[in-house]
Amino acid sequence: MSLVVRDNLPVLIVVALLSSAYVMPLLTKIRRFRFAEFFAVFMIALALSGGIYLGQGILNHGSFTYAVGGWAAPWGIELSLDAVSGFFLITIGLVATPIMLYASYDLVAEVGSRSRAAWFLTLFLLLVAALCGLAITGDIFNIYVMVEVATIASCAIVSARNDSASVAATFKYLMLATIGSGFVLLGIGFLFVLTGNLNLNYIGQTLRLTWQNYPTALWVALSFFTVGFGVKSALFPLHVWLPDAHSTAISPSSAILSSLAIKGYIIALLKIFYVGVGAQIIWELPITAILTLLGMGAIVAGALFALAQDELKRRLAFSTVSQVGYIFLGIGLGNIHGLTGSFMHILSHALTKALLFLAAGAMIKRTGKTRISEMAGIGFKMPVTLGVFAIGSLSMIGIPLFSGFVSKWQLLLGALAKGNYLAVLVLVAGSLLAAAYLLPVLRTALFVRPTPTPAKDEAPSVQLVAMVFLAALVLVVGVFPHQVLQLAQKAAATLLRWGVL
Amino acid sequence: MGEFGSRIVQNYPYVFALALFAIGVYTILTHSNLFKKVIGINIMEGSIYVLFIAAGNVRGGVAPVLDLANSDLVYVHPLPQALMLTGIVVSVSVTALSLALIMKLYRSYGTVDAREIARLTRLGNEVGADVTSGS
Repeated sequence: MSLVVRDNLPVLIVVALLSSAYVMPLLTKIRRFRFAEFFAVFMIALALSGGIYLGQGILNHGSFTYAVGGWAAPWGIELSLDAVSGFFLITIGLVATPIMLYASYDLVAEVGSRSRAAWFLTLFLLLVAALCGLAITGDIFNIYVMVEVATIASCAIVSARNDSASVAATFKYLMLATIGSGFVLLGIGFLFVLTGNLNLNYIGQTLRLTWQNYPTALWVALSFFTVGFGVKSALFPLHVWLPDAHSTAISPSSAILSSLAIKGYIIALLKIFYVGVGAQIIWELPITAILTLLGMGAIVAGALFALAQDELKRRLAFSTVSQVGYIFLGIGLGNIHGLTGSFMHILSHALTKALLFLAAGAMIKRTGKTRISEMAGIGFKMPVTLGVFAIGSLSMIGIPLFSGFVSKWQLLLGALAKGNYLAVLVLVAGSLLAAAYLLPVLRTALFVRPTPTPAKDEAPSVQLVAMVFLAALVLVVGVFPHQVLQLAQKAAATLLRWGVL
Repeated sequence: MGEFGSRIVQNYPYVFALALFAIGVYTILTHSNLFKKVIGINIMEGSIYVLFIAAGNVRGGVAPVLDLANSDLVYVHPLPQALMLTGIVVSVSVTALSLALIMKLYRSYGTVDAREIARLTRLGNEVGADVTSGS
C-alpha cells in the first residue's frame, strides 16, 4: 500500500487535491462546516509533506520522470520531477497551508453564506491542485489544461464575496486572462506544428536539430508565450487587471492569487523556454533582452504606481507588479545567479506577499479602515499583526536577515556577472522605492500615537498562528538560506543544463 | 507571384486562423458591450481550433479509424482533433463563467456596458471615500 503511494506520489498529490476539491460542498452538507475547513487544511498540508518528500528525494537522488497511466513518453503524459518541480511544490505547500488556516477562521462571515464558503474551499483546492500540476508536468498540452484550471479557479475566487466591485474586477480579469490563454494555446500550436510533439523533452530535442530552418516561426511562438504568460502573471504593461482583482478580493484570495497563482504561470513559462526550447536557442534570439527590459520596467513602474495608492490592499497589489518584475529580470539575465535569484524570489515573494496581505486583511477586518492615511496608531491596537507586517515589509525591501535579501542578492550577483549595470541600478532603486511605499505604512501605524491610546484588540489566534508561521519562514529563509538556496541553485542548473545536452 | 506569396497561398489555413485570432482579440479589447466581448472570446478560440485542425490535416486523408482490410489508406492526424475537444470544453466553461458574471453585473449595475460599469464603480469608490472621511 505504502509502496503504491510512494511510487505514484507525483500524480497522487494532484489527484488527491482535485478530488477533495469536489467533495467539499458535499462534505459541508453531511458534516459540520468546521470539519470541511479542517479537511481542506489537512489536504493542503498533506500535499506540502508530499512535496517536501519529493523535493528531498530529488535533491538526494536526482530528477526522475513519471508516466501517467503507464503510457510511455512520446504518447502518454509525462510528469518530470526535477528540482524546479520540487522547489515550486514546496513553495506552494508552505504558503497555501497558512493561507487556508487563516481563511478557515471566519470564512462563512467573509463570503456571505455556508454554501458560498463551501465553493470557496472547492476553488481554493482546485487552484492549489492546478499549481501543483503546473509544477510537475512535462507535457505542453497538460500545461495548457492546468493553466486553464488555474485561471478559471483564480477568476472565480476573486468574486468569492459576490459584491459588485469584485464581480466587475473578475470579469476584467477573465477577459484578459482568456486572451492570455489564447496566445499560450496558439504558441503551443506553433510548437506542435514545428516539432510534432507535445512532450517538452522531445520538443527540445527536435528543435535543437531543426530550429535553424524556421527561426521566424519559433520567434513568433516565443513571443506568443511571452505575451500570454505575461498577461497572466501581470508583467508590467500587461498588468492592468491585477490591481482591481487583487484589491477587491477577500484577503485569503488576494494572498493566494498574489503569492502563488501568478507564479504558476512563470514556472510554466520557464519550463517551455528552458526545457522545451532550450537555453542555447533562447540566447540566440533577442527574447532574454526583451524580458530583461520588461522586468526592469515593471520594477520601477509597479513601485511608482504603488507609491500613488492610499488604499492599503491596492498598494500591495501594485507592489506585486513590481516584484514580478524582479522574477522576469532574473529570467532575462539568464545566467545561473539570475535564475537562482528568480527561483528564490518566487519563494520569498510568495511568503512575504501572503504575509502582508493576510496582515492587511486582519487590520482591515478589525478596524474597518482600508486607507493607509486612516490607520494611525493601529500598531498600538494590534501589536502582533503589525509586527509580522513589519517583518514582511523589511523582507520586501530586501533588508539582510530577511528572505527578500537572499533573492535580491542573487539577482544582483546575476546582473554583475552579466555586466548589466543598468539592471544593478534598477535593483537598488527598486529596493529604495519598496522602502518608500512600505515604510510610511509602518510609520503611520506604529509611531503616530492617537489620543486616547486604543485598547488592545488583536486578530483571532488562528489567524495569528498562520501569520506568525509565515513570518517565521521569512526569517528562517533569511537567516539560514543554505538548504533552500541549494535547491534553487539546483533548479536553475537543471534549466540551464537542457540547452547544453 | 513571388516565393513569399506562394508560401502564403500554400499555408492559407494558418493565415486565415491568425487573421481570425486578431479579429477576436480586437473584438474583446475594443467593444464595451460585455456580450460582444464574450463573442470575441469565442471567435478567438475558434481561430485556434482552425489552426490545430489544419495542422493535423493530410490532403486526401480519411478519418482516423483504422481499416485493417485497406492498408494503403492515408489518415489525418487524430491528435490535434483530440486536443481541440479539450479546447472546446475549456472555451465552453469560460463562456459559461463569463455569462454568469454578466448576469451578476447586470443585476447590480443595470447595464452591460463596460465603460458605464467602470464609471459607476469609480463613482461608488468616491462616495465610499467621502462617507468614511466624514465619519
